[in-house]
Amino acid sequence: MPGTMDFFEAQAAAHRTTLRLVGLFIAAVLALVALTVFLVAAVIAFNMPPSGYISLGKIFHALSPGLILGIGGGVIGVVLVASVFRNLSLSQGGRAIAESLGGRQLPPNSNDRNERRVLNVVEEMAIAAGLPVPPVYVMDEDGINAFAAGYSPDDAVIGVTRGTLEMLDRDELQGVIGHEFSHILNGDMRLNIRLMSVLFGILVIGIIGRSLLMSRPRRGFRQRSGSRRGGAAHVAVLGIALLLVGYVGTFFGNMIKAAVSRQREFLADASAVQFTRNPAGLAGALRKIGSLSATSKIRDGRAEEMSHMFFGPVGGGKRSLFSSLATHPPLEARIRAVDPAWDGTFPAVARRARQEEVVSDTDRKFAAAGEALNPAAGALGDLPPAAGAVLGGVMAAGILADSAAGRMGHVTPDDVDEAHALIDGLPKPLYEASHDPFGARAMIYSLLLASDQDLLATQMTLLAERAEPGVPALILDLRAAQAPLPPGQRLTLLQLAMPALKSLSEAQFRHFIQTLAALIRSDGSIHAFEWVLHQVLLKELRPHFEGVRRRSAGQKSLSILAPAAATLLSTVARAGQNDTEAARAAFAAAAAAIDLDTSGFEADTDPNMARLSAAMRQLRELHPLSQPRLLKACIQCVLHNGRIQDSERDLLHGVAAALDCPLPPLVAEH
Amino acid sequence: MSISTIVTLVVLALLLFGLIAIYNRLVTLRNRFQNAFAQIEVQLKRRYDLIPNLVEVAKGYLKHERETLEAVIQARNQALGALQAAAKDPGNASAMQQLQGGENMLAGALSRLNMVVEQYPDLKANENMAQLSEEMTSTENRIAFARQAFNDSVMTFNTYRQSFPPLAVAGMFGFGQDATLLQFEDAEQIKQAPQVSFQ
Repeated sequence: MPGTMDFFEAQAAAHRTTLRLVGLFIAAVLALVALTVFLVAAVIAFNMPPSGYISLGKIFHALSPGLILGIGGGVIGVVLVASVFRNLSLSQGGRAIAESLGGRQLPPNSNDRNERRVLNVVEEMAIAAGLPVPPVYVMDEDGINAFAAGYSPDDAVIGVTRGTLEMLDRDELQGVIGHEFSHILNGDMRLNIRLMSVLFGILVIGIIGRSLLMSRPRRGFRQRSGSRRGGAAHVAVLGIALLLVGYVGTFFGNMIKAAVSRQREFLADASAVQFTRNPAGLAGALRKIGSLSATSKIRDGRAEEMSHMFFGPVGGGKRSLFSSLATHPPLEARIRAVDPAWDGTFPAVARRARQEEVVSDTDRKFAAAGEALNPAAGALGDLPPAAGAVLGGVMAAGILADSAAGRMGHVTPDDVDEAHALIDGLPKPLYEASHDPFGARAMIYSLLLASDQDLLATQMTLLAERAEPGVPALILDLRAAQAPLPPGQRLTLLQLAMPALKSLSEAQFRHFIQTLAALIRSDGSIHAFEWVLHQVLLKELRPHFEGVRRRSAGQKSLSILAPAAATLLSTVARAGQNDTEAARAAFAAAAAAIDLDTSGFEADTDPNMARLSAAMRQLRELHPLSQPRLLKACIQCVLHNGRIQDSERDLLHGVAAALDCPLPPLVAEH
Repeated sequence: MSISTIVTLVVLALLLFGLIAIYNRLVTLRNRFQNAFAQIEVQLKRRYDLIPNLVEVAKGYLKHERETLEAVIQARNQALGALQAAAKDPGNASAMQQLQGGENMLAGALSRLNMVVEQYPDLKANENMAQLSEEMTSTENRIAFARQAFNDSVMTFNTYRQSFPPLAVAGMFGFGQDATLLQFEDAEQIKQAPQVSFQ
């Protein structure tokens, strides 16, 4: 079993794999061009006097620069255009891909027991990994299969088949969903989109060849002009050649797919085990796929193109003629890698029927109680202590920062258990509100309510004017429910609310953002939490509503982005310390850690956090391997005086979200 | 191959991609409003599940108002049936109309029940009754919100379908008709929302 990689390394490795992919692609296209040219020349040679036979000599005669350039240019042109076209259509976000596979979104507040189970598992994993909760789509298929699609964690979706909902128990679901989450974390999704675009380009040639062949015969018989009498035959032959080339191209394409995706499947399996500490779950799911009554077969023809994105082989796992073309490692090998003690049997599988939960029984604890929970989970009643942990010395802070930063991108079973306990411990009104589009908005408004009475009155008046009926009353209830919650969990509530917010209509979304902005501005200044909330919301919802803005993985180093990094560290330093000198010292310590100019501290305040927003935008282009260093510096800055304050913790959370760095809740608390 | 053939092929290819893009967008927009209907379904089902409980509680007090109660149950069952039919084909004109009709009838039955309840202060004061009424009201708001989202996405689909160039090819692709919006009458519910106080 291959060793598991750190999240940031995995991202960088995905980038390297992309380069390899491009190289293979170019080689394949060149091979195709050469093949096409050769075939066409052969046909021309056949027709050249003395006609009737081919020889290498005649072929070389037929090879003229015009021929090579014309055909070569045409093939390359078509492949490029088709690839770009497919890339554009696939980059519309995960939602588009799921819909194109016939998926239907599960409402976050669904009442069906099977649907609730998978929604809960996805939610736990996302919170544990520090990622926004992705919407879940279900495909109407009987087999057991799943996929993760999207361009980045913000527009990621998880897809499962109906068979998965009906046939897997909670542990097995965790294994499968963990596997999919590792795809998201390892940067596989973007790689998959590139892969599919490339393959589509190569496939298109075959399609063109086929259509040329089918349309030619009618027109061929009408050719009159002598000099072009052979022209129709030429084009027909071109069609055959292109068809042949297309099929050969598909062969190469599948080889590329296999070369890239098989290894990543093993990696994803390993990561899933790491997340859940329960190999039995993943092994159980794989075994169920292997059983005759289940399999992972997908009937919908559109899934073939995306076969490498699925959890199990889309064709049902029958041994293909060329096993080197398989996108997944053989099922037996995967099971053994996860569960060395496997006895080689596949269980018979039963399907569960749809089961509606009555309204009064939607208590999540009740739903999960009947399931076989992770036996090692235990009763995690106490959440880790909130702000107020006192530590001594800068050295300790440095060590802690190291371990905290090292834990980023690593999801452990403790994180998952922690997330489960966290979600279970939420007051019921908050939990329900976060899963319902109407309630989710109200909940976010309530997070921004001031404690000062006058300010509160202003805000409530504003909401009464602008928000929909029923919102003000709900907000006050939600605010009361939030009182016992540790402040660090406010942003967790935000993460939970993501799928519900994504089901707003565009007009509702715009109205929501405008009202939110008005609410934030109502007290005349922007506080750290308000800034973070606004940033995270916009960053995660904008791609969903306004189209995904594709940007390639950042390549810039910290030294190039030094001014932006200085602004960030200065803001973090100022947030935690009361006087400028202490802030300057904290800044210096942090800056030294990443070889930044320690005198670059910015002492003046940043009204409306405008400078920070600009800096964060620039920092998005940071190279993946520099991100943990920057975050480590931020953590060190925060721990400089040994205490973590609410504003500092919120800022950390916001910065991590803005950089697409998953920050597990345990790390954020300690 | 002559230049003109190549140019023709390129133009044809672009046209083809354009048509594919239009088709995909029509499919996407239709999926969006069908998905939006799912949220309406969840909320309406919640409401329909509350009603039998409501009737149970009221039965003990309203011993002589059996017809009113039965009317509510009947309207509720009919609306549930209409909902299930509509869920199979959201946006379809007749399905939407059936659902609207069912909902309006239910609203009427509920408002008649409300008027009756007003005359029985014991029932009004009953804790279960108050709680159920409160939940019904909050569900109302959510239904209205979900309906707004559904109608927004239906409008987006219709607007795109009616614009040019999709208009020219929509019929060919199987999108011959506009989707229908969902309208409910604004009906009185069992209880008003509690007063908002800034304490």
